[in-house]
Amino acid sequence: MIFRKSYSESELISGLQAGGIQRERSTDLLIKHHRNLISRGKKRYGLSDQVAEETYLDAIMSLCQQVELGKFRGESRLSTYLHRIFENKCKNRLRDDKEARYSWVDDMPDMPAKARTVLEQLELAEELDHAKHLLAQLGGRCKEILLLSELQGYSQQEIADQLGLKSARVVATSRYRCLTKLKQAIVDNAILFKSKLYSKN
Amino acid sequence: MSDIYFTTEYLERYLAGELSDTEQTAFEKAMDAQPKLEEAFRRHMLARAAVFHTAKEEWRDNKRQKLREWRAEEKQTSSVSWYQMAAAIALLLAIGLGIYFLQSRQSSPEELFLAYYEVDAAPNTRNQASESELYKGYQAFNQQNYEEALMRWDNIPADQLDNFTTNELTYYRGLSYLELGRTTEAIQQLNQIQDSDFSDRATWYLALIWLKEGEADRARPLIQSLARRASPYQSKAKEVLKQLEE
Repeated sequence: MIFRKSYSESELISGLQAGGIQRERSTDLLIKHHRNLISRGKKRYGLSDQVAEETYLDAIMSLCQQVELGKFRGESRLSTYLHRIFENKCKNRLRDDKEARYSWVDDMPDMPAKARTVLEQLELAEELDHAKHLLAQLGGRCKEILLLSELQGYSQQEIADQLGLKSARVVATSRYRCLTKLKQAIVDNAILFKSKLYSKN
Repeated sequence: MSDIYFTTEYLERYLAGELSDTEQTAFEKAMDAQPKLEEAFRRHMLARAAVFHTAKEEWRDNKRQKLREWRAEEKQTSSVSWYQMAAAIALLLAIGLGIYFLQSRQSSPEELFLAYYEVDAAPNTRNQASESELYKGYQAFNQQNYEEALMRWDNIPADQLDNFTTNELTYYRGLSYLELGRTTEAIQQLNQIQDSDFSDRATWYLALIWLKEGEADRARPLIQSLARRASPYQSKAKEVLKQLEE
């Protein structure tokens, strides 16, 4: 390659591990500098434009989470690691629908085995779409707190600063309150679902 | 049963691994014994899944938009006047031909690794043996659950397997470590079977590992040995050797 990256991998890794705004900047750098993988997904695996792009972004997300959780040990270069994750995700997309449906479970944060089993057992297609719809109806502040807490690795203090809340503690209690509100909405809409997930407690 | 188990805060502490071992065991036992608690937990998981999925979709949309902006920027900066284009072409033409021969013919060791690396699938058999730890491990391997595969194989007593299967297992352990980025352990495993029925495969992957590490000089003799002898890897080895030597 003629043109070299203008960042060092160790800087990237530090940025990803820092969380919040720094993580977002490092993630953007990664996305920008390795986007040629999208063409690779199209040529090598025959993926469509949209699917290749989605798969690439999923690979980036997985990489960032693995760096954040300390699973990337630095025994290979970050770019090699990303290539490998991307190749595996491309292969997964080509497999049957059932396996591809469950692949997002691996992207969720580490949790006890029992919780993971519940996720894999849930009838996701209908219930998940309904639950997402209820989340969208929750209202701006609740949705913001829940989404910021979920993926980007923002600290509670950063979320408090971003949303103009008093303190990190307020963010934590607000998050629990909003999750409870979402669960109540799921129960209140029980008439829509056949699964016994939704009978009143 | 404690009412605290039903609270969002407690469920979140459980998911985050913040409970002690005793608390976690007690909670999971309570879930197994009380359908209402299990129901509450499954509802909580659905809520979390909805949040995660929505967050992921919004993140993806945001990044997709950025990809489009960067592509648009590239197109803008590349629309220069034809004078500048002509001057640039004239300058680059002289350099470009030389670089073309170097860059397109000479791949870096790491690029060769990326071009040739593919994980070999583990045996996939449905018979009495498929319930054994060995074959459950192979299943986990084929599903890319490499940590689980290694854990299952660790449960097999060493004296339970014949020589061939022991070597086969060592080979797939090596590939598992390689997939997990644990290169040193991968090399240790593959080195052990250099004189077995898996010699060609082990040599091929060892060569790829050295290419991945940027160590072309260590990869070369391995690839040369594969190129010289009849095996499924001979033609690929010849291709890699040609690119290494150009």
